Amino acid sequence: MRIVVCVKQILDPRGLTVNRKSEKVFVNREEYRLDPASRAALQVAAAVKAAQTASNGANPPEIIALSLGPDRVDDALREAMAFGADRAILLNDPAFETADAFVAANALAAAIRKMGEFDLIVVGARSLDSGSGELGARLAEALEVPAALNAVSVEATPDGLSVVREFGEMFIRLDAPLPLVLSVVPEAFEPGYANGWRLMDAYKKWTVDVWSAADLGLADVDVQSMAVRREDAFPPERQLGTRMKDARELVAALKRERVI
Amino acid sequence: MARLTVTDAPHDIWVVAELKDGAPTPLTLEMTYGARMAADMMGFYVKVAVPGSDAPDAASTLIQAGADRITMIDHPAGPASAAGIASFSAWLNALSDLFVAQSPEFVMLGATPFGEELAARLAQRFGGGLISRCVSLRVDDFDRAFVGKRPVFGGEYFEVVATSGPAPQFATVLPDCFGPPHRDASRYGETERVALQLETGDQRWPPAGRVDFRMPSPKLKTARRIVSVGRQVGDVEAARRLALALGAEFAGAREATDEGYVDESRVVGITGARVSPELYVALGIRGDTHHTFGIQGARFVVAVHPDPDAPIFKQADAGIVGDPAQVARELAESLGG
Repeated sequence: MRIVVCVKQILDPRGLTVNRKSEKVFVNREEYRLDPASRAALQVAAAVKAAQTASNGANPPEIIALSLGPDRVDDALREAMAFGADRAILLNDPAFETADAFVAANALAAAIRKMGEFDLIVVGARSLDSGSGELGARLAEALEVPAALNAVSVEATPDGLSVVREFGEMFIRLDAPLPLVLSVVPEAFEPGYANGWRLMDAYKKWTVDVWSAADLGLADVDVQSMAVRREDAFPPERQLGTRMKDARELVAALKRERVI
Repeated sequence: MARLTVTDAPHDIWVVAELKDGAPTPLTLEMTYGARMAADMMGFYVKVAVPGSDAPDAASTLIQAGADRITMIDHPAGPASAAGIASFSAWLNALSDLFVAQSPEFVMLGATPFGEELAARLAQRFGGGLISRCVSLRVDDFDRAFVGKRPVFGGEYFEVVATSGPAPQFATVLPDCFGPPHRDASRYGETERVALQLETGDQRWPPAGRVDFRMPSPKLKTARRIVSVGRQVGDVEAARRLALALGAEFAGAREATDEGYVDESRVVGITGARVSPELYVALGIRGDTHHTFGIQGARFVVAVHPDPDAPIFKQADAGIVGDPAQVARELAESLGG
């Protein structure tokens, strides 16, 4: 069984200051981190692997972490190995610099096909930064398999997965067959921590393979972004909060605003 | 993978409708009205695809909101149900067949679970651009592109994105993108019906059943009022009593877990829940970005903190510099009596 987890590295928003007045985003500390939804995806993959290993120990599943981006994404993939991935592949090519979700899905799908057979693809439902939430559905389309998106609970069963997915205000249980694309809602999973020993090994012993656009045999139309970012925009400057003297004045204000 | 292409020169703007209890959702009517405004500028027709059933009045409501032509795709189980999810690929194929035949230039869908999954799959299938989760959207008549504004980092700021590529171009929109539609009862439009061919769907996808499932913090995400504490709250019991008095959910910033004030499932912020209550009361929370990220959707934020320079006051609609526990007690008292 082969599980591929597509992970994303994002700019850590704790290093950002958004100044609405001057309409600028200041990057105070340019630090990158593994997206929380990707961490949840890795945890779910590790749990599925553990369940499969328990029932079929002779042939444990392999988890491959896959990402797309520049050299710095190497860090995210090593962290992914510390979270349980057995190996890691980075798709790194100048052609991917301005990749939108279309290009990302084309490249990731081509890499997954290049690996050969696959059973399960796990992605985060929505990244913290751009948060378009397109990747799961696009990958399923590109790989021509069903998708179970916005999963809040995942259990391995003998024939596939039992998934509970969010659907607006409903939760729906799906008996999902394999192969499958699964996207997970990070809030639904307890945050886990990377294994310290694995983290050391990830940097000292293991390697991250790097594949280029040429390795993936992508055509020009596959790496052409179809959604182009023009500029940033800002919400109106927030009215600086009115300072109140005491609880009484506050209650009056809350009543005036009809929040109580 | 072979990409689909439209048959004719692309034209017109389409909306994919969603129904609830047999009527178009408010978001659907809003999109229809938004499409009408773009169509008047571009010389387009507004066409609406309606996946669903048992909606005798849906077509006339949509025509009043601005539609010229309605295509009802009928099946007894609408798409927004457990049975609908099981037949999702049949709905997807019905819409992509319709678009191949009708050659839309632009397609708008709701930023809902159904709309977002459809839009991403269709955009991948046709190879056209997609802008997800727009808070504002227009058609650029010079570039013949969708230009949409969408939130980044959960609404800390926005990015303006333009589509390109082969038709159709897609966008999903959030509520309040176009404002409430003008109803015009004198409008005229046509309606056609096609039946959903279930067997065109992906046969690998087995039936699903609806379940009731408890998320670790389901209440926080949908709570209308939240009382939240940080390290400086002083007396956490006073905060709990205020939550009771307000009928609010109790939550905390990440650092409140270190103090044992709240458990992991009740954290608001980057590493916890993102909430959008009517009222958010932050007691003794400094308000660093990792926390305030989670409260961008809150309508009215009250902050109480002893430090007048605490960043939380920049996020607050009303603030009191003082002892959070004391204010919490007074607030609870004045609400009780």
